[in-house]
Amino acid sequence: MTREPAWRIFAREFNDSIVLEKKGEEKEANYILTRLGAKINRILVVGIMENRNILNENSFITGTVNDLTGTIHFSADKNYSNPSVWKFLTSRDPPVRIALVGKVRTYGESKNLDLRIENIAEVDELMEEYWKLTAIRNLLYRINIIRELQNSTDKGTLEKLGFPKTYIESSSLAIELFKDLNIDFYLTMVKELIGMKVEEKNENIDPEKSILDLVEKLDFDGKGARYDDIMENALKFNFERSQVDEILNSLLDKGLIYEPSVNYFKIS
Amino acid sequence: MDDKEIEKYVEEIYAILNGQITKEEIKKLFNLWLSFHYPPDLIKQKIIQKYAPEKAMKIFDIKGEIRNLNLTAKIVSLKINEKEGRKIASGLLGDETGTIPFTTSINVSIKKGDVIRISNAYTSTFNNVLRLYIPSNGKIEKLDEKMIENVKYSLNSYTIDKLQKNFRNLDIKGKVLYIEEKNGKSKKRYTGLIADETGAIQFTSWGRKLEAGKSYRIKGAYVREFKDKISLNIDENMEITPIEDIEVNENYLNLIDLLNKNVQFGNFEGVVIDVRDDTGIIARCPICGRTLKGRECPEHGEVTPVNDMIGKLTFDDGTLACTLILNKSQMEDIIGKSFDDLVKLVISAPGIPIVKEELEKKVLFKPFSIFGRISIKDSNRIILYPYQINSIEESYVKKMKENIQGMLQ
Repeated sequence: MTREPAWRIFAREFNDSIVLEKKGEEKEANYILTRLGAKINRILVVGIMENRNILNENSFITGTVNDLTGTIHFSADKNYSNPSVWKFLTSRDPPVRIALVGKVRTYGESKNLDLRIENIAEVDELMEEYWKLTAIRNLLYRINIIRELQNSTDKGTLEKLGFPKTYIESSSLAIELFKDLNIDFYLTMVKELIGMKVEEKNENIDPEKSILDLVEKLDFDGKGARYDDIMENALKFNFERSQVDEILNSLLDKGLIYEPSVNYFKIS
Repeated sequence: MDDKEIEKYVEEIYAILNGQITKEEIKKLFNLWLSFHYPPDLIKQKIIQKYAPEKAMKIFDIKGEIRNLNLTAKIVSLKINEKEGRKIASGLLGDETGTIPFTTSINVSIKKGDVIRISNAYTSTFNNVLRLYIPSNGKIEKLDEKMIENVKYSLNSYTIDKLQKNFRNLDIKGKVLYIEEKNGKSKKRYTGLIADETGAIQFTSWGRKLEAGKSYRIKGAYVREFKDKISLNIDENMEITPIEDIEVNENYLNLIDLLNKNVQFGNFEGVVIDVRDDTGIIARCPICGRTLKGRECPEHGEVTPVNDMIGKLTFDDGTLACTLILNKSQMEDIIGKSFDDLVKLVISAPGIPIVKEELEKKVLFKPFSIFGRISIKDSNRIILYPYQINSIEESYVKKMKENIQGMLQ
């Protein structure tokens, strides 16, 4: 077995992935698959440690790290951690700029994602910038493969072009599983991260307002707008799936919309 | 072909034949061959062959692809392969002017050292090398071995990526990237790395120190294989001349790409994500250098171990991880403390992995660009032995950013 690489990946891509079912082999590693086709067991993330909670009578720690695109949850168990990891987590209070390597883990019934920390240290701004750039570089590399596959370049040709076989396989799996993949969403994200001007298609448009408009527009018969229709249309406007869900929840919370029946939304 | 050109050939042939036949006769013969559409160079050889066989074509004259070639040469090396029931002989032919590889399917008994006259052969280029073929309608006759006593070896010019084991008499141009002195038994021995725009190869230089960063042309070098790795061998008798700086391929490689390629060296960029527990002061057998647990060397019995220091790190570039091995002086440089000082620290704090901790402070979660040698164990465990370790600095990151912005435009 080769050692699993530590993927450089942004929280936004990481959190919007699915857990791959294990094939039932013993000692099989946990893998998640991101929308851009990264099949991940371990990641390296650099960001600000924002929270850290010491739980279970000082034997378990959870926390979050923010990399400017979102937050990733991490955890460490005193009994299974490298002593230096434990020492760092118990002695340093947030906020602190950190790099951490961790393995993907799922917990709870809803299969929440977190990282079991293998190593952690405080890092400087240069490392943060370097990490960000490598994460962008790798993301663009995955987009390349996805685009080639979408343009129906066959796998053999891609391999001959020098793309690793494992990348080609996981990318085609991602294309198969994520029908609503929105590459522009990720491109916009990296352009913003690198300080480039983004052509604003939805200039000055409030995302909540856009979704609210959709709910109204897609209510064809007065029974409300179907969730699937809202999603399908929102994705065309560069929304990401999770973002649409978030906005719908927020609109429900604010009482601006309600659910007349399951998976139907209507303006209040 | 006009008369002027014909006259030129006639003059040349006349000069070589030293008046054995008249110019008119030569011209008549030349025109006769020409009427059968033979190329002029070959006609020249044909006429010389007929009147002065001893002055016939020499290996030095064989340039490019030629048909109907006759040649007298010595078999310098010979290998016989059976292919589908047919015997194929191949090897190297030589004379006083040079050498050329050959292949023949003619079934005659020949051995190394024989001098043979070859008729009706042709040359063709295969893998960038000109080779002589004697087809089944050709002829091989054995002559007196003494006809050719000394063979002059031709130099073979290759780019570094094309080198294979047992290549000899090489004419190589390369830039020395790295060199270090090894303890040779009688002569001083240097090992290092030499590269051109196509690749890099490890070299051993016997008695001749080359300078890192300088480019050289080396004539007569040969390739040997040791422990499944090829290396270029150079000795002080060879003609080694400094040349203008040559360009070297400095592209970065991804670790994941190493699994399918035969790469021995490369530039890598990544982050140290772990300093392993077996980093620290170690004891070695003073004779064989093996790492010892006690005073007992499995090969040399009880010895007085010598102390050394080793760093074992996990270096990860986002595509794959590898083991990065640091030697004593590299660790001294990185940690910024001498070996002796570190030994003192270790003694003063028993049980504490001081060296590991010191190294961690300097390298953990730091980005580096590393030029080094690769070794792949069990087909997928990569070990990187660095020649050069550079911290990634602000200017490098700035360039990365500009590249990415370019890609996104």
